[in-house]
Amino acid sequence: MRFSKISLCAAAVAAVSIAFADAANTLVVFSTTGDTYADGTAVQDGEWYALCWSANNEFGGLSSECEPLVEGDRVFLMAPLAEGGRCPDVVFQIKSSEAPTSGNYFVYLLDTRGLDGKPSKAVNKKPAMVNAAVATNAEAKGAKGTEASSYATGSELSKDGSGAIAWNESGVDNVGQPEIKSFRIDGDRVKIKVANMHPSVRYNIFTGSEPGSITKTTLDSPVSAESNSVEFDLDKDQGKFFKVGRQPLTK
Amino acid sequence: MKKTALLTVSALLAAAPVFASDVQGSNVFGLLTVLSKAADTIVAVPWCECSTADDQPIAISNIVKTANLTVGDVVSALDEKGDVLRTWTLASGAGGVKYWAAPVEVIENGNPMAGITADKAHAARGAAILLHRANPTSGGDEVPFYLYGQVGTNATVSSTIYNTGASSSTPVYSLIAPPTDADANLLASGVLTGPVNGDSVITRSLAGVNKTYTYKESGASGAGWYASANPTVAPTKVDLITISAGTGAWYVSRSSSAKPTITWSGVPHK
Repeated sequence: MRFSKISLCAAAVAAVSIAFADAANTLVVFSTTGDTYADGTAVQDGEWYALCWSANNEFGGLSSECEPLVEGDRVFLMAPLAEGGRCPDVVFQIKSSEAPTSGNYFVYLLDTRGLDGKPSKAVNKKPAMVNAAVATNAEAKGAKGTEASSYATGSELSKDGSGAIAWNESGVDNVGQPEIKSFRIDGDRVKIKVANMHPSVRYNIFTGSEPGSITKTTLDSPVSAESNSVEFDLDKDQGKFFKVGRQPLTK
Repeated sequence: MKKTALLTVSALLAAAPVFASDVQGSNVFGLLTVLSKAADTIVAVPWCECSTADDQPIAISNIVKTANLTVGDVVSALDEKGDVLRTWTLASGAGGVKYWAAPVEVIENGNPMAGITADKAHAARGAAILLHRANPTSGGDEVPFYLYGQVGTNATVSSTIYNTGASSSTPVYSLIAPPTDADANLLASGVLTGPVNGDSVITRSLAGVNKTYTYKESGASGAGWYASANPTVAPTKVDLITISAGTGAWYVSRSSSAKPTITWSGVPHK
């Protein structure tokens, strides 16, 4: 297995500090703007990303079994998150008692493509072994990922690197529920102003023919909230009922 | 802090869809396009005011989109007691922005006073308002108008019928409409109860054609609602009074002895 270095978008880094604001636990928010494999092709939907941590400024790399190569490095999250050529917004919570007190986080795109050219399915909740040619191509091993954030909170990192991780249910609560504040028609367009948005979340307007089944997205690309309020601009004929919601991680 | 689920790293895959479904808007908006050729339309109130509170009556100024209406068009609505039919006329303000000019309805010491503004007068789902348009067609085709607002959460909604002082010689009129985005049958089971002999319902089609239905306790086919295609044909009993989506009807009471009720159930709600 090999690594590809990726970059964090500025919005994701900014979101980290907001996510930390009122959480006893540690929240790490990350996303990417668009990624490619080392061969230059766009990352496929379902490809795996890894959220890694190192006490130093450099993460030591992963083995083909997805284990850190350097003692003390940790992998907090490994999941097939890729969607639309990028890693979508992920809010990840680490229980305070397990959170590192210092160090740096890194996000890696994993190339798990097998002989069929598709990203690996999960085996034992990790990527399966990839074909030998890719698995031995470890030229990027030890490449430095991009720093996601550095901070100090929580207690000592567990030595075996397998501490309990908390998914961000409380983080979702902190994000809050978006709300349509105004709705107007301008020619063939519908302008929907939404408030109570969070910078770490991407939103879309969903439509449907019944209020209880509003599932169709109206925008090809979801919108990140650069402020608390955003006005969406839609084709008027896209639906009868409209609702704002978070663009799902998985379709 | 809400209970936090403890998961190992490898269990996170299962948690992702749960996260994805949690951040959802607290309100739903509806848009109803009414394809009407009628100059005068009884307009339904299917939606609510945009609000964090549910099912708030919507301001008259927010019921019908004004952009494709003509300056001089008029909306009218009954007041809260059903006594006064207020009217607002579409005017052009600064920058060409259209607004509903307040009616002149109060005379005090001989001076006309501005009436309530359209953003301060409200109508609830189940009610209807009147719309007069100078240009309901263009090139022979209908010019649609649009109703939009927040979707109500109450699945059961009533239409208010006024009948204080009603008699056969002095009928009292109410504006009613289904609080829905679809055609509705006023005579569907459980909707209209307690009509009084002589009461009538006047619907208006999207082409502007009125149709009158009259309740007869002793009609040729027994108690029920009767209508005829034209005045030269004896009315026959009907089991459908269809009110088209986006439109309403007049309910004409001819007795104050008992008040009929109109209750719509299972109407769209989020």
